[in-house]
Amino acid sequence: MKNLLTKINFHYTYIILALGLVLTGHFSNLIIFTSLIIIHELGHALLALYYKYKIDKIIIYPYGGLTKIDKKINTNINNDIVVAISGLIFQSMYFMLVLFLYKNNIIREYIYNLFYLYHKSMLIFNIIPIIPLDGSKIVNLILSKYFNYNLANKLTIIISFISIVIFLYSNIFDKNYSIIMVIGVLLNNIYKFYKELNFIYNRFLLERYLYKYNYKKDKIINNMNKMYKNRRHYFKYNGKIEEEKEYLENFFKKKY
Amino acid sequence: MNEIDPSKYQNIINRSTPKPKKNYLKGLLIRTMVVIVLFLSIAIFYKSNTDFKNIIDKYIYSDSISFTKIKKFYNKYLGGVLPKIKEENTSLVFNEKINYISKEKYYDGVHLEVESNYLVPSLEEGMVVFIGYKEHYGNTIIIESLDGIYYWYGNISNTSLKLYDYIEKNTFIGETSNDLYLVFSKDDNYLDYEEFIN
Repeated sequence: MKNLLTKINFHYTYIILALGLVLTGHFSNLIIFTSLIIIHELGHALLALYYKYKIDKIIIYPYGGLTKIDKKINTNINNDIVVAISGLIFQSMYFMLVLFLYKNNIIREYIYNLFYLYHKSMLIFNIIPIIPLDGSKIVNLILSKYFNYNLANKLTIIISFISIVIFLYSNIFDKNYSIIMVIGVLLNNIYKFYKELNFIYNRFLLERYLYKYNYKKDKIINNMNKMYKNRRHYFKYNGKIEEEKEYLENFFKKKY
Repeated sequence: MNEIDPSKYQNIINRSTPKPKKNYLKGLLIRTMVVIVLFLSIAIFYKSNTDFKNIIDKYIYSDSISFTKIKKFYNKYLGGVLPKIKEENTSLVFNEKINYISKEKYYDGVHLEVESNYLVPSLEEGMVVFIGYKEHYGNTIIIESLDGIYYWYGNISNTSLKLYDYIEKNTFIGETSNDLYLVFSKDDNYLDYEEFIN
């Protein structure tokens, strides 16, 4: 736990926003939404630790945070979905606690209204499927259940772009300088993900070659770029069928 | 194949080696010393130079930071401050204006006669800058609006507001019985109440 807290980093966009809030005297707003973000991220972090993933760092942005988890790609998809959702669940639990305190007259209505406002804002923002946000992680994991991994990643990028356009056109959020900063951060993350697509896929293949995984479903394919995240493959080429491990061994040794 | 010349890659080697840790205590001491030197030099300057003394007295001792003015600037040029979703304006609006029986001038403001246990609405959006007792007005709440006008609400009881709360227009400020005192001021001048109350 002590180790977790040292991994929290405040992004410079968050610091610009915090400065604005302090200069205009919104002290309680600042404390409330920062506490919501931190609880949300600790939710991801605790579930990640439960599944024995390694946490790289936790970055706090103006509308939410990002927990960077250092893990293998070929992990159980359902576990990863649980990790992606856990932030929202922890945040909601925290809000329930606040609601309970409000019902018992321990906190004022003014504070409760602020909690409600920021809880709602962050919930909606995190569900949007744009790449570093929770929504896109869930979409990517669900897609990779039914499509091959390469296609799932590409579809996630397309969905991200579509949702950014919809997000800009619909006036859900107050349009101010902080949302512009956040959209800049989001676009940067999408670009980084696009650039790393091949690298990520190669890592995926290498893990398949190096470690032993068991899957229930089988799939016969003829192209190495069409591998699924949750299936065992047989490769069909030159009229014969080869097992996944054998095929990948040939691939990596020839390349080297 | 040529031999690798290490001097060629010196830059890369240097970059990858971890930097030696600085002595934390030493840095802290140096920073403290710098602050002390700055503080003493300003104090000496304050004692010796009357012009500088006047500036300090005017802007630091007598003036407080005006949050609402900065908020107005943010609203005008940066589109707002808060990272939140848009809200519909259906929150807590319970009264459009103050209903009173009679009005008369009272010290620097106005004395309104209202019903007993009257719920006072806020006349303007703003921030609570004072809650406490004022002479002639009883328990007073002062709200600074975005225009820099101070709205004083005197003789208020049963308030749920705290210092530095932001309140919207027409939201509940507090309860009063029969006598409500209002004062309007800006930059130490009292304004004519006829402009605010019809």
